[in-house]
Amino acid sequence: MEYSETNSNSETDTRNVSNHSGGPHFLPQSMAPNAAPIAQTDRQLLKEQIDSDVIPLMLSTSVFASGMNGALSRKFNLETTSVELLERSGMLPKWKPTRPRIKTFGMTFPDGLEFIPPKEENDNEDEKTQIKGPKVTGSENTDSNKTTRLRPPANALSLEDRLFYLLQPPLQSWLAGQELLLPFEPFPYQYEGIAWLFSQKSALLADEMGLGKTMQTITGVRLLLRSGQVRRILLLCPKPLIPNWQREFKFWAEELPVTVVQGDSNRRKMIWEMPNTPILVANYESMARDFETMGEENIPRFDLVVLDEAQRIKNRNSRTAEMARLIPRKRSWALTGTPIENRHEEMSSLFEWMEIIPPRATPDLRQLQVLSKEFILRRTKDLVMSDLPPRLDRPAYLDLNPAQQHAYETAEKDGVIQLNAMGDSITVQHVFELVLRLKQITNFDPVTGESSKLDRLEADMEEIAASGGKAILFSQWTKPLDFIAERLGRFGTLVYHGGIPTKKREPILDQFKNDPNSHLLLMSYGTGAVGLNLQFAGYVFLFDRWWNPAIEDQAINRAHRIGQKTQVIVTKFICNNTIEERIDMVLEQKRELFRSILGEGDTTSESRSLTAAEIFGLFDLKQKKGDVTKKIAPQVPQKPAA
Amino acid sequence: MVADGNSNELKLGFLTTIECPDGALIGGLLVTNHFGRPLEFQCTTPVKPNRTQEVLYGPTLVPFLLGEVIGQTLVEKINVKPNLILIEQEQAIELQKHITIPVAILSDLEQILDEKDSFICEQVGQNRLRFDAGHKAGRTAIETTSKKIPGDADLGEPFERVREALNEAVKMGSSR
Repeated sequence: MEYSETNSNSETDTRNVSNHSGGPHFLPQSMAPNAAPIAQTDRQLLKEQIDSDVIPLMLSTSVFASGMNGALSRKFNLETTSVELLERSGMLPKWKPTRPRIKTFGMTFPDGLEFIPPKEENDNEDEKTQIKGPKVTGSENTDSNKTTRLRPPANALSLEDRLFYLLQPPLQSWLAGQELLLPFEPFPYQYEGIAWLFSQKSALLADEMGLGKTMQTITGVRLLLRSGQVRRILLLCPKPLIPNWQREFKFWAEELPVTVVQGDSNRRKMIWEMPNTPILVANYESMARDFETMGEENIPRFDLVVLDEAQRIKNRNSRTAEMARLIPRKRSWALTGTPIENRHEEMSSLFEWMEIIPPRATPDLRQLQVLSKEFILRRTKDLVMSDLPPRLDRPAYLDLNPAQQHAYETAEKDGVIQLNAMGDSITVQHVFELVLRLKQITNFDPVTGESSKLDRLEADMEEIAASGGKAILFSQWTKPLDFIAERLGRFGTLVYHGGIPTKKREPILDQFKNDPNSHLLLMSYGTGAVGLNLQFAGYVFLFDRWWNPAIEDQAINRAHRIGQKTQVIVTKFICNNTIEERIDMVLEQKRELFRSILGEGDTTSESRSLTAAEIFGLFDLKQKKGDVTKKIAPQVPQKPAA
Repeated sequence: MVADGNSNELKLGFLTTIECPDGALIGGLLVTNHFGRPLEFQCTTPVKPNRTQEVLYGPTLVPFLLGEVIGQTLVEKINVKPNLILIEQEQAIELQKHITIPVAILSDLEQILDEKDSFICEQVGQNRLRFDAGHKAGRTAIETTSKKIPGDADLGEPFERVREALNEAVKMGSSR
């Protein structure tokens, strides 16, 4: 409707235009010259619409005669021409599918050392399968698919360092017999230990004895060598343990060449300076001596230095500790089952060597605890080896034989009188000498050779030998060992102590292991207590007590360790009413001392050796001055607060 | 000395991407020897498509980003060239159009059932690899791989390492 109206209007307009006379169209037509008069009807209609009469304009509206009038009514003459555009037409902005440039970050991995693979005894590829080791059925090994990943250490700050660890394969697949063969599958906690060692620049592996510190260290070293992280390693250990390390390296990492620093000083110098020796093994004494001779600036550099039985440097002022600190190195690992033997300050020496505390720093107990969390890995058998056969401690309280009893009483009485008479000039050495003399008498009567301990041992050995068992016996002295060997020769008794030349020691251990007629191995604490694997022996005798039960534990753990299939029966001989009873009591009281540093759940390893005050306390020593009786003893130190 | 692996040694590339919290993609390529020991790693900075790319690429945007932008860049950058590149994201197979090194998808069971004719499936280690049937070099590479990889090898595991490394890179990038 609206459309049609509009249309009609436009028609009207058109009509009007066509009737246009040429005058200005804003003028009323009636006023225009020659305009037709308005019809009467129109006029009437208009009047109705606007309700008004038309008011006629009283002036002329004709166009001024300018001469343009004709031009105004003429049609326009339009002409078009094309004009060039200034720019080409197109779409802006222009877009083309391109590959945007992006930034990348890259890292390459150092090439690991390649070693000549050991000769295969059997060339048949099918036979080259992994030997499955002892499977733990305990809770910690239920998830056999669990993988151990290397974690970047807390102090690895650069992305490259962190990615290095994150991109390494899980240990299980690395060691699963594809690239590196292992004779036995490690236990889950051992994988953890290896992964931890691998990523630590400073580490103290303080696993309890028998948990495989050696194996974890060797495998860690192997992985570091194979991944190109280290090229030159020095392993320091007590001299008697060198053959043990050689044997263990051969067992766990056959392809790694191990060079022992030994021989005269010229030969040792040559070995120290020899290139292409990835692993050097030396004892503490020759290291200290040789490096002192070389001078600080000539000490060879190492990528990794491992201290076995690291308690050897617990005294930071000792020459060994000082020389060990001078060795230029990138990584420092310490191994010990007994990081603290007497005082918590001993940890400071280890931490100083590990370069995690400044020289001469003396961290307090709380600081030690914090450092321990980051730099010490310690697991106890109770925690990780729930199914290791139990160790049964059987103290054998024995009465002295009459001859021994007489000798003992006489010696004690004379000794105490002598000490009392010395008054203030008495030293711990004097008391110590008396203790030693009395301990020797509890072993044997010096005159008759009678011994209640030996009698008991003989009886026990009859039984053990009859059942085909094997036993190890420890004593503080070598003389009783030779004496026992003579008396108990029928049990195929073997002797292993410091007096035996190093070369002859290995065959002795082999014979003890393999000869079915050999039932008893006699060892001294000093030589046999550390590092040896005698897990085929089910019985341990402690013929006399060592000053430090940590050493006793180390000794017992030669037998009570991984691989042991039966329970280990430990017989500790203690003679009634003698110094041994008193020593035992004092040592037991010290169990609690270092627990706070190494954590709970550890009851076997704290060192509890006797201090001077405690040695004095073994006897009731009094000095009489006039009417006053004064106790002779140094002050007993306060126990550190937990 | 840098690990480039023995030239005769089989080298595998593991390519994957993760998404950053802001939606950007970050890709990583890990080259290992056939034991899985790392030889080289390259990763990109975060890649975020602009609006024009989103509109114009439509559904082909992700294959473009995974295959061409991230994948091709990383393959070009890497010095230790792998014999075979494994991917776990289906859409990254686009990469094959841009490089000559064969690319194979690590398939799981469902994907195998959904298999197209243009792809071939091969069992390698514990996993199945799917690759373009038309790619001749791919067949050779996969045959070599399956010979050298032990039956119990898990080819999915290295991807976890790459993802973990990428997450670490994102974390460290955001903390700067």
